[in-house]
Order: sequence, then C-alpha cells, then structure tokens
Amino acid sequence: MDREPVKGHLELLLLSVLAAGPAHGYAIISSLRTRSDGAFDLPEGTVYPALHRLEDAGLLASSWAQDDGRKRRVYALTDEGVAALAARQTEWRRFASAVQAVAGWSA
Amino acid sequence: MTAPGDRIEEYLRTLRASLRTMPQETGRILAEAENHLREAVAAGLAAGLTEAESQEAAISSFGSVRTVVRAHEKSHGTAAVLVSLVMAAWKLAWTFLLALGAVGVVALIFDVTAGQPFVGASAPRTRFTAANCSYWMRINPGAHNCAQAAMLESSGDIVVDGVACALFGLLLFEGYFLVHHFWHRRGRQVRDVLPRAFFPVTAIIMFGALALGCGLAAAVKGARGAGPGEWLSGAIVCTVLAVAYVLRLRQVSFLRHAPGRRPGRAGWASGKGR
Repeated sequence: MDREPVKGHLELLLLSVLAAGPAHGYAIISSLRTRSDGAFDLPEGTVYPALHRLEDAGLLASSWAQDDGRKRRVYALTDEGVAALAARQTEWRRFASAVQAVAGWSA
Repeated sequence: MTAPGDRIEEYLRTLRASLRTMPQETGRILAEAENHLREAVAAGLAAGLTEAESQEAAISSFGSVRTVVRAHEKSHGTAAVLVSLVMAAWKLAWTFLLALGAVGVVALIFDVTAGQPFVGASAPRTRFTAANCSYWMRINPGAHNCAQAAMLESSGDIVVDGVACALFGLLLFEGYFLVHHFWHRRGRQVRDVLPRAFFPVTAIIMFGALALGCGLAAAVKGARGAGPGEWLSGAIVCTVLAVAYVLRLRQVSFLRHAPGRRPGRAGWASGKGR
C-alpha cells in the first residue's frame, strides 16, 4: 500500500490505537500493523516523531516506565487527546462517506 | 552489555551523530530507538531468527538513519528552519565583527613592527585640495605633509574601527547566548535544524572569499586609501578563520561517519524525557 496517504492520517491512527489504553512505542507500532492487517507498514522509526508531535500538541502524555527489566516510554491519551480523537473520527467518517457516495460503491 | 560488532549499537551511534536536536531530545530519541530495536530483536529471536538476522530485520523495519532523521527534521516545521537561519545569520554577524576586531589587532602589530606607512598609506596619485589638506594637517599636526597626515589617520582608523566592531560583536555574541539561555530557562529549545555542515560551509565561503579579496588588494600594494598592511591584516585573519572552519567541517564529517567513535551510553540509555 502507498505510504503517503497513511502518513496524512498517521496522527488519527495513533490516537485510535492509544484509545485502547496506554502503550509504548513498539506496542503502538505493532498494534498499528496488526490492526491494519499489515497495510500500514511504515518505517517504524518515523512513527516516533509523530508521537512527539502529538505530545507537543498536548494530545498525548508520556513517561518512562520499567517493565520486564526494560525501560520504556509509555504514551497515553490526555483529555484533549480523547476530544481530538472524537473530532477527527467524525471528520473522517464524513469524508469517507462523501468519497463513498461520489465513487459510487458501498462498503 | 553489547557484543562487539553489534549492529544496533552501530546504528544508534550513526543516528546519534546525524540528529540535529538538543542533547535532551537526542537522548530521548536514542533511548526510544534502542528500546524499540532491542524489543524487535527479541521478537526476531523468539521467531527463530539468529541474532544477526534479528538485528538486520529490526534495523530494516525501523528505517534507515537518513529516513528517521528526516522524519524528526520534518516534524520541526518551517518556523524552526527560519529560527535556525536567523540564529545562523546572527552567529555569522558576531563572528564577522569579532574578526574585524582581530584585523585591528593585527594592523596594530604591523603599525608597530613595519611602520604606519605599511598600514595606512594613502592611495597612489591621490590629489589633496587645500581644504582637505588643511583638514588632515589639523588632525595630525606632527605630519610633514598632507599625504603623511592622511596616512597616519588611516593607519589609526583601522585599529579604532576594529575595536568598535569588536565591541559591537561582543554585544551580539552576548545577545546570542542570552537568547539561548532565555529559551532554555523557559523549558524550550532553540533547535538548530539546519545541516551540521551549514554554518562551517557558509563561514568557509565568506572568509575564504574575503581572504582572497584582501590578499589581492595587499598584492597590488593597497587600494582605496589603505596600505598593503591593512589588507594583509584582513587576509591573515580571514585565512585563519577559513582554515579553522575547514577543520570544524572535517570534525563534523568525522562525527557523522566515524565508525569507531563510541558515545557515552548515558547519551541514549538514560534519557529522562523532556
């Protein structure tokens, strides 16, 4: 699958993955790949800048956590992040149904 | 502990040398990258791959250093690039002004060792009118004639102008570091998102061209009312600076490519976040 469209929606995808609960980078990326059935297969290292951007925007919060002797940065949605996710999901649904209506096929 | 020839270690070392971020942010990026890669290697081993294959697969999935660095740079946006350009121009301005101060010092040394006519000789075939001759003689009453008075004045001017430029340069230098300090105290960073080689290359071009121009002017025994010593002072200072920035550029390239350079583990393993 072409990576460019995925990059355009990466923030929505990351917020959606984190809606299931706090997770560290590796788990977020694995979940993204698994839930998309391998379709969203970005270079994993490029996902971290997006996570940092979301944190800078106040949509995510992160902290270091010790787990299995391994130190990991765990990300979680903030209240603002939850609201932003809801808004973006609504926007995306509207966009997807408009594309669907114009393209003339149904899911 | 990392085994000799550990590809993850090698990858992180290259990533560290390539990132254009502040130390704290670099520490976090590297810590996350290391955790991610080690986790991916463990998953590869659990799936039956060898250590080498697991490392290869982990790095391949993570993306090349270039790709990862570009992703971090893109996340800075246009504003960060503009801020970096302004800060680079600011740095270049105080470097240039301090260099003019150094030119004044070298000119003063020439004044003392080679004599003022070497530094402040007036341009050949200069014609003095009665009005400007009396002006020069009034400023330098000890001079024997107008040409000598003008020469003495210009040889002193280069030193005084150099001191003035150096003082202004010091003010800009102070302001430059105050801005960094102010942003840092507010918990923000003035990120330099330009390529590492940007400033050294710009300085080499600027000081190299100035050294060449001053050298040529000195070779034709002075120009525009200045003696060869004044131009030679400029050529010496600009050459020293151009060479210093060539060495800096080599250092930057070495940091980027040196395979044997081992950064402190604390650099990426103990990042505490922002």
